[in-house]
Amino acid sequence: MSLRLHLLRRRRLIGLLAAVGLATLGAGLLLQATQSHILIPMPMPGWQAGVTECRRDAFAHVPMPDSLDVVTACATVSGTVRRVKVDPVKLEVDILVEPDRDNANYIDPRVQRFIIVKVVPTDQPSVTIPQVDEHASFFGAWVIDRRASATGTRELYPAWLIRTSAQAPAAPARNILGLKLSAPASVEVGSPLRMSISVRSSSARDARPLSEGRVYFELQPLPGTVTRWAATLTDTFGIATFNLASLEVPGTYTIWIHASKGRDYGTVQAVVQIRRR
Amino acid sequence: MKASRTFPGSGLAMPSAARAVQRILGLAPPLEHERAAVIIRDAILAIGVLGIALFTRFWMLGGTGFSGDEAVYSGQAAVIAGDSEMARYFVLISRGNSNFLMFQYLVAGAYHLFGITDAVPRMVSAVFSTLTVPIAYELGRTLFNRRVAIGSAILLAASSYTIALGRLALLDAALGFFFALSMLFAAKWIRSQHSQNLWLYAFAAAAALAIQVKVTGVLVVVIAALYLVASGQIRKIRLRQWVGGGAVFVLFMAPALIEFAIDPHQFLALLGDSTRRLSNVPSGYYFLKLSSYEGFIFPTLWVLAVLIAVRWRTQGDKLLMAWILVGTLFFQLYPLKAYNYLLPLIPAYSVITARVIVSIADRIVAIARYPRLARMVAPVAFGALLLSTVAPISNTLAAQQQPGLREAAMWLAEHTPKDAGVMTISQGSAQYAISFYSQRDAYPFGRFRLATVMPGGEILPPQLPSNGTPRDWVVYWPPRLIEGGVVSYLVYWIDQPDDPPDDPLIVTETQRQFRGLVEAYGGQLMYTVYSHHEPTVWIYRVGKLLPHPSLNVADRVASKTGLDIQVQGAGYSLGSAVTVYYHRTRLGVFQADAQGRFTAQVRLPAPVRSSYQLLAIDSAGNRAIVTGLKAT
Repeated sequence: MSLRLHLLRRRRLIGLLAAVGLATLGAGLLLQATQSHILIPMPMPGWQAGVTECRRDAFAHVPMPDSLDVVTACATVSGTVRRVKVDPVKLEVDILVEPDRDNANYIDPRVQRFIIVKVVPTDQPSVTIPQVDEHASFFGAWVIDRRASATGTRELYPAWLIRTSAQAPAAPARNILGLKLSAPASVEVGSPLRMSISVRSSSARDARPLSEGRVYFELQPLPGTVTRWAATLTDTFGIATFNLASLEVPGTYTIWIHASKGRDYGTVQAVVQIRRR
Repeated sequence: MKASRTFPGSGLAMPSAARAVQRILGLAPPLEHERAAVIIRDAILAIGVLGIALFTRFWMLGGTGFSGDEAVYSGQAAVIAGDSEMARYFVLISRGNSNFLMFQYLVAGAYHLFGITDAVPRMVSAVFSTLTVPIAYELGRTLFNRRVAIGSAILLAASSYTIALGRLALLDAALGFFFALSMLFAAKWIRSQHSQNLWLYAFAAAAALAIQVKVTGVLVVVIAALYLVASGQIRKIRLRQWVGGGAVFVLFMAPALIEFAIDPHQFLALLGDSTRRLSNVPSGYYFLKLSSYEGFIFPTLWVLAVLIAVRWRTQGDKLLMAWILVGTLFFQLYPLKAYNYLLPLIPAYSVITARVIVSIADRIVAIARYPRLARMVAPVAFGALLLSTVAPISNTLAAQQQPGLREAAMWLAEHTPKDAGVMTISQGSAQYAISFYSQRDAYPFGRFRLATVMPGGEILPPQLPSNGTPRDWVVYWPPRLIEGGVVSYLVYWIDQPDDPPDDPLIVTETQRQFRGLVEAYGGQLMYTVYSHHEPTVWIYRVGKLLPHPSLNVADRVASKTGLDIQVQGAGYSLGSAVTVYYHRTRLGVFQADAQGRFTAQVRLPAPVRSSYQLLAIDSAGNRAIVTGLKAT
């Protein structure tokens, strides 16, 4: 009798534990289903060979590449340009492209209507930006940008070649901008890192200040990959100023400045020490 | 007789030296004439374990200042203790409805005795954490035997996770104490076969106190209920016992009920906000978090011990399993997760682990060829475990939470005007540490699903979007408070720095945005706090009130020589010289006022063309451009 009672209690305990366990599992699955997005695998664009080279380091001048999930480092998409805009902060050229029918399944229509193509400032002198309503093929890296939305948008970022059927071959980029960088040799960690860049164009006989030139800044530790990015425009005197906070790990850094306007570009570099007190 | 039950297989004769060693280690059963020695041995062990608990919880308690949450509880306690200055920054309500101010009242009592300093709240926590060790001992003794009791106390005293939380002025150490106390009373009541109602009433009282420290204390009631249902003992409880226990519970809950009755609307509003909080962490968050404190040995042992105890299932095992099951499932499923939540479960894990180690040792003794040697298994195991905690404990004692915020706040108190406003990366509450130490109005920066207590006591609920976390303290309030001159200092801080530094100083999106705020508003570095030679906190003074200067043109009067206009600029570096150019011709230098504004009367030289730029630029390079001006 007591053995049966004991068995009954044991079964009841096991039953209760099983019920709690199942309820827990169910609640956990329900919670997970309601709180997370189920990622649907999507086809990715291929690479059209023979037009341009696939870049070895596609993200060399892309700000915050860690926020991008690389789907494929080399991809080609095609479609009709619907909007061209310059990002006022990053000074990237953002192009919204309505994909061709056979390219439409590369994006999730619930997240985005257009393929987003971005041309970073360092590539702009060599890339032909198409007009609105123009049809073009775009070559670059196919990524999911996690910063753009909660689910991430699919983008061709960066794009380093755009081919349009209507346009005549573009003039080659010219390295004719003279840059003069004024930056401190050493700053205490966290203190303002103020830099002034003078940009002059040497296309004319007398080098003239370059107004409205796009100036792109990168800070690279020695050794290491770039940790900071910033962009601004030159003023009417061809002067661009960066006022940054040097919140970086103490060490030696290379400052890279790239300037461009149209097909003209130039680059300058300097070394800065970020030190403890 | 009792001793021989506790130490089975003890009647073997053994050499006196080995016996002496075993006696000291608590292995050998005492003979009648050795009772005094046993008492002394137990006392030495108790003092040793308590010494470990005291040292690890009290050593260098004030090495670093408060984190934000510690400041909130300590500030509320200061308000209760009658500090009128603190009443500007702290209100007597929990923003997350996680507590009913019980801990704060206890700290306020300690403030009355020792004065308002940041050491006092931490001492209160450390006392609770230390007192939980003897409770674990008594729990082990009540459910099993004295050897399990000693093992439980050792494991709890040396748990790095418990030590870390016992050194902080958070609610968790007090919650852990009352939680364990409740379970001890429950165990004693169950052991008495429900005959000693005093234990039932003590359980009801302790459970009410646990809930008032932190609402998750309600789990003790769930655990007890689960145990009573699962064991079938619920039917044995008489109506008189239910009523008596309920009455004691309600009586001890009275302060919380009064607190709720004073402002139920506010309570329910905050509850609504806080229940929507969630953490995006991996499912193994708690195991990894515990391992980061304890190393992998303790958490792995805890899991193994639970699995073994499930198979053994004595009465004591069942109570501990109910404790562990309910607590672990609840915290694992609850969407909001935090590193401190599991503390009330650690006494249960310690007791069940000690019980399994002792039982396995006993089984080894029973089958061993050399039982005398086998009796060393348990003490060697506990000794080895104690040794294994040396590294985690030293890491825990060396670790600092938000190092430098106290020092930064003290600098602000000394070097800034009394009405200066400060903004800092919040993570929900860091701004309150600034207010606690500096008595300055401090505001948060970042994304969090918590109400914000504004200086003066107004409570701002978070603006909850349909998806994601609120952005009001990233995009809405910061520019307004800076432009309005309410916030004039920005404090950037990082968690424990590397030594040598390796990790970047900017990692999260919130940190990146705060750096952007510093840069956009021309932050001038005023002071850097160094901790162990590494910078941890930076104080910036706002240099301008707008992220981008603006330039407006008014009162145009055309003449033969040009166009007379009035130029109004804003958002320039405070008090800086602003140079105005037109088509690269310098028109003059003008002084910006203390708000970064200037007004100037200038003449644009002819010819005036709409493509020419009117440029106003200050000495820091901040500029604004106007085009499209025409001569007529």
